[in-house]
Amino acid sequence: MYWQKSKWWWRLGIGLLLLGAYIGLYQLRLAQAAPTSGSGATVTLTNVSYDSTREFYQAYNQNFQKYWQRKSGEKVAVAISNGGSGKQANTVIEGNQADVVTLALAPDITSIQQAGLLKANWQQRYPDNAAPYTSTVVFLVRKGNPQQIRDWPDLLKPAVNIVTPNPKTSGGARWNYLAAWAYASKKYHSTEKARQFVRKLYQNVTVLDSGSRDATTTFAENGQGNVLLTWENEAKLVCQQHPGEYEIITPSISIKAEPSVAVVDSVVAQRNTATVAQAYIQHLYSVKAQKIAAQNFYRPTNQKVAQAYRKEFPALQLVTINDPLFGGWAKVQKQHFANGGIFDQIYGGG
Amino acid sequence: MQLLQTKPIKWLLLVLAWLFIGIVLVLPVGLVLVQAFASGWHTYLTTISSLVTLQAINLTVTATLISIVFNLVFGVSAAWLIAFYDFPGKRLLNALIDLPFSVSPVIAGLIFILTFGRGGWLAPLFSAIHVQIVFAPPAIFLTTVFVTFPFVAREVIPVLEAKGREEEQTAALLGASFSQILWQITFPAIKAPVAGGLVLATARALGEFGAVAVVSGNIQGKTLTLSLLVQNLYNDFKFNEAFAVATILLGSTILVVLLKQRLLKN
Repeated sequence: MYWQKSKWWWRLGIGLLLLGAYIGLYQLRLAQAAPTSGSGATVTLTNVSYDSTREFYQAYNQNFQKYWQRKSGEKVAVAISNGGSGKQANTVIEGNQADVVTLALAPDITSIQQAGLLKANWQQRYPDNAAPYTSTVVFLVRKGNPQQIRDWPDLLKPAVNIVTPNPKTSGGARWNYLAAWAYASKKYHSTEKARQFVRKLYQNVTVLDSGSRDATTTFAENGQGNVLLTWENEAKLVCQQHPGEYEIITPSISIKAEPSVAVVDSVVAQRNTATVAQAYIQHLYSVKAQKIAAQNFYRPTNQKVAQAYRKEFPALQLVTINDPLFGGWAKVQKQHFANGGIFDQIYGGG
Repeated sequence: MQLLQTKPIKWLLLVLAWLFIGIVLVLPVGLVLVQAFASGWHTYLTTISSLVTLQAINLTVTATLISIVFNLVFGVSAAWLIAFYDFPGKRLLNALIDLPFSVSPVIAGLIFILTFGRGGWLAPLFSAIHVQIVFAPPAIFLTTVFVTFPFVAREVIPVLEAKGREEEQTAALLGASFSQILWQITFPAIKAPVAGGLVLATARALGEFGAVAVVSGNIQGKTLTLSLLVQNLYNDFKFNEAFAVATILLGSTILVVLLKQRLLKN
């Protein structure tokens, strides 16, 4: 009996030792992650964002922590949540306590506003339509560009297989669709011709995933299709991950994609975080943050920073959502993406 | 019996069994390991000891421990009730215990959103006392308990029913107290099914994805369980890191299975 008892002591000892080591490691990591010095209670902010912003906000959050501690003496920890933009907006509507939302497109924030969580003028509260960084839609092709894709018309060639997400479910996909529409409208000056152009383009779509990141994985990891229609920042990220395997083709005309940001008024009122949340959004427009955005492949809105990084972002004709051609998101949503809208008509076999 | 002794059939079955296990089990698990270490030991160790991973481990382990305790208490009481007593609604209760097995995990998550989310039935109550349920750890615990709670009850009920309540009644007649009956008569008889149920519940709690994904809100460092972290890393092109975290889940599952075999042997 004695040896059995001692065996149990050993086990308990080893177990406690492992547990102690684990707790030690955890405390160490916590200490490493905490902002360096200063006093005062830690405030936490939750930033609910979309799929491809993780690297950017990780870098930005560190910068903001330092900035805010210098400015107010307060320690701030920012928790980030990533996912499909529309889905993320839904979680906020259902009760996810987001102090700020940084989503892929304005309508997703508008839907949160319509649920009564923030004020109707959210897009006027910050510069540049509350879009501190922008992007555009480009083509990602495999090395050597075997299909010789140079501009939008090349996507209509019979041998081309396009990968792009579904505009009904994905925010990024709406920008893709609208970019094609912008090109065709500017080129042919006719709604009917634009519709035919975009229909032909979607006939060449081989995989219509539900989200941008899914589409990227389908194209880059699973090897489907010849060309991926996607965000410029997403395309650049793929090229960084797989050096030398892909090429980015910038078309002659594309859309100015404006990922929007907002403070969620009702949440910050409840959590008493309005000041720091507003500073978090405002600081996105600072020179330092704009540089971080550019380093993470977003086009800066600050002209000086944009100038400094101009080699990274080829010049092209960018059509905005407020161009008379589109007339703003409300009109676009109704005309193109609502049930029975133009996308349904051209893709539903109509 | 002649048929069973022919060598070809034995070999055929053996090859089929190994082929099947090889393709659906050994190969994928092997690939997980290959991917996990593809960028070297350093990446692997940094990933599994990073703060985000440790926080995911804490959350997963807490959710699992809560489920285990709940399972033990609820499972044994429910089984005792159903096996030893007759009461109106017994069949209904019996059927309700099985509900989490028949309901899709996504629905399980959604019912908690509908109940505790903004605009949900119980939302005014919890927002009045400033307790956040959905998109916060409590919802992770609730859903994990929900998807695991039938395990112990399901294993114990048939054993208790087969055993009958004569021994307990005799002990009571002889003057044994309730705790004496529970610990000296009933518990020894149901030790094996309780352990088996707990092992299944643990495995499920560690790996639960669907229901937890709905209520989590994917907030890094707050509501990411290990399974959700794997998905998040995968979606961020961090394939090797994703598989590195997956090895933690794989390892803990293997531990749980080994523990089960050990418990059954004793």
